[in-house]
Parts: sequence; C-alpha cells; structure tokens
Amino acid sequence: MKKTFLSQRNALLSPGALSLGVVVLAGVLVVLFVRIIFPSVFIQTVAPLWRLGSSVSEGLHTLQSGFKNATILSARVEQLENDNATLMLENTSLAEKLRDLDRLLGSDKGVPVGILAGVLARPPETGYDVLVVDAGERDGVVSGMAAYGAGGVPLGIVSVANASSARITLFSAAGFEAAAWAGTSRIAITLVGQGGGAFAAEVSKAAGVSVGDAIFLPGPGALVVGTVTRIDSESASPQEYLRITPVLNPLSVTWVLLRTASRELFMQPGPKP
Amino acid sequence: MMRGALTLFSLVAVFIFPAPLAIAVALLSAVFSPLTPLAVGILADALYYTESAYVVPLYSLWGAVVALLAFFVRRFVATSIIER
Repeated sequence: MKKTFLSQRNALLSPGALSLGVVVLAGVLVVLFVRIIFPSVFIQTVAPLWRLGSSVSEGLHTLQSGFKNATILSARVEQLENDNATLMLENTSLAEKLRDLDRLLGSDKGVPVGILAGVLARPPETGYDVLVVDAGERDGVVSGMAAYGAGGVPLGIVSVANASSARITLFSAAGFEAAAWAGTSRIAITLVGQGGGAFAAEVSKAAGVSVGDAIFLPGPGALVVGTVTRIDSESASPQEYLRITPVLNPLSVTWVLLRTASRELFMQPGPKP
Repeated sequence: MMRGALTLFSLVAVFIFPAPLAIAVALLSAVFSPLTPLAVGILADALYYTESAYVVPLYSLWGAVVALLAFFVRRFVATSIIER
C-alpha cells in the first residue's frame, strides 16, 4: 500500500520533470531580469537567434512554395511582371506630374528624412503584431515615431525605444484603432486592427464602399494601408463590415523607415486586450 | 534525455519558429515537463510583449494555464506511460 501511494505521489510531482521545469523557469526568469534591467545587452545577445529565425522562416516559405504547382506559379509570375511594368510606367508619369505640380504651387518640401531600421523579429515569430527593429535611441528613435514600409506604407508606431533597438506596434494589432479614409471619395472610417496583419472597419451601407477600394491613413497626404477584400452585411442593418487586407504584408517586412508621426495618426490609438 | 532535448527545443523555437509552431512544441513538452510552457510563455513575452499591442502578456498567462492543466493531467492520467 505504501509503495502504491509513493508511486502516485511521484506521478503527480515527478522529481525529474519538476526539477528540470524549475531549472528552466529559473533560467527564463534570469533572462526576463536581464531583459528589464539591460535591454540593449539582451537585444544584442538574442539578435543572432532572430536572424537565424528569419532565415528559417524564409526557408520554410520557399519549401512550401516549392510544393505548389509550377505552371500556376509561372503564370502568376508572368502576370505580376506585367502588372509591375504597368505600375512602373504609371508611377513614373505620376511622379512627373507631382513634380510639375510642386514646381507650380511651390509646395515641394523634399524627401522626408527618416531612420532606416532593419527588422530583427516580425510576425509570426513574434506572435503579437509587433516588429523588433535594430535601431534605437542611439540612432535617434523615440517612442511615438511612425514606421513606414516599402513604398511609404504606414505600418505602426514605435511603442518602446531602447538604446539599440525598438518595438513597433503594428496598426493591425488587435483592437488598435486609427482614423482612416475609404475609397477615392475619402469616406471617414475608424480602422480597427484584427491581429495577424488584418484590419476591419464599420461603415454605412449608403457610403458606397466596394470590394477593391483602397484604405488610407493620414500621413503626408493620404497613404494607402490596405484594400477592402470582403464586405459583410445583414439586410436589417444599415451598417456593413469591411474586411481589409494590408497592402504590405507585415510577415515579409525586412526594413522600416522611422519618422515623426503626423498628429492625425494618434487620433484614436487604444489597444484593447 | 528526451525530456531535456524537448525542453531546450521548445525554448529555442520561440526565437526561430513561427508562433504557432513554437506553441505546439511547448504543448508537447508539457507532457514531459509541466513547467516548460510557463517558462516558454515568460520567455516569449520577454522577447515580444509590448503594452501597446496587448494589455496583458498573453503568452505568460496561457503558459501558466497550460502548466496548471499539465499538472492536473499528470495527476489523473495513468502515469506509468509518462514516467521515465
């Protein structure tokens, strides 16, 4: 009887499992302590692991892509090349038009200066909609700066700046709200982060927002942040629910430009659990 | 040996693998070492948590919940399989 009791007791609190768990937990608490007291040392130590993580994620993505049908992929590449050529032409002509207008109106303020930062960790590694970048207070980064991706796409706001690194909370973080516009007629909406890079917004049916409409955030002018990919509505409700996909996938962001955010971006920041 | 390797792997996974995969490894390691999910959760929050993204550190909370569940499961399940 006594032996049986001991066996059950061991099953509940197996010494091996517990001691290992306690050691690991103590080690992690030390890591947490270092993270809080010496954030720069911590980031410098873990940065190589994050870089390895980026390589692993890239490798996994390539492997996954390799299983897709080659014919579909080549057709997709061809289509993207055509789209790219068209967009480049449009972009060139628009840039010229803008330059002419700036010259005429005298509003050319030059290219805004920013701090270029490499991304150390990004979703899905981070889990939260957070980017960790390798530029910090030493480089001039301060909390509240806005982060822009390729093409000037607004991505998020610097929430924490350490000496040599910073954390950027993406606009897509669950519950994060920002004032935005939908479509070419600039219908005012409240953009709500859904996590995982996605957004949503509620708008009146009468507003006439349709699938494919661009969503803009205020910056210098209106900056495209996403496109409407689905609209959900109920016949009895005067409102409809917009599902918005980001134009720049946060999962593949490798660098960001950090600049002082325009005041409008702070209209309604409010993370919710 | 297996237990140690899996625990180490679950900690490293937080750095190099996407979150869902790291969570899966942590859940698996809970079978052998109930405290590991809590450790993994605290490590993940040390690395990635920021107040402006979420009000509460979700990884740590879920890690604690899983650790607690793992203790209960180890109590009620026939333990001869789990034992070394």
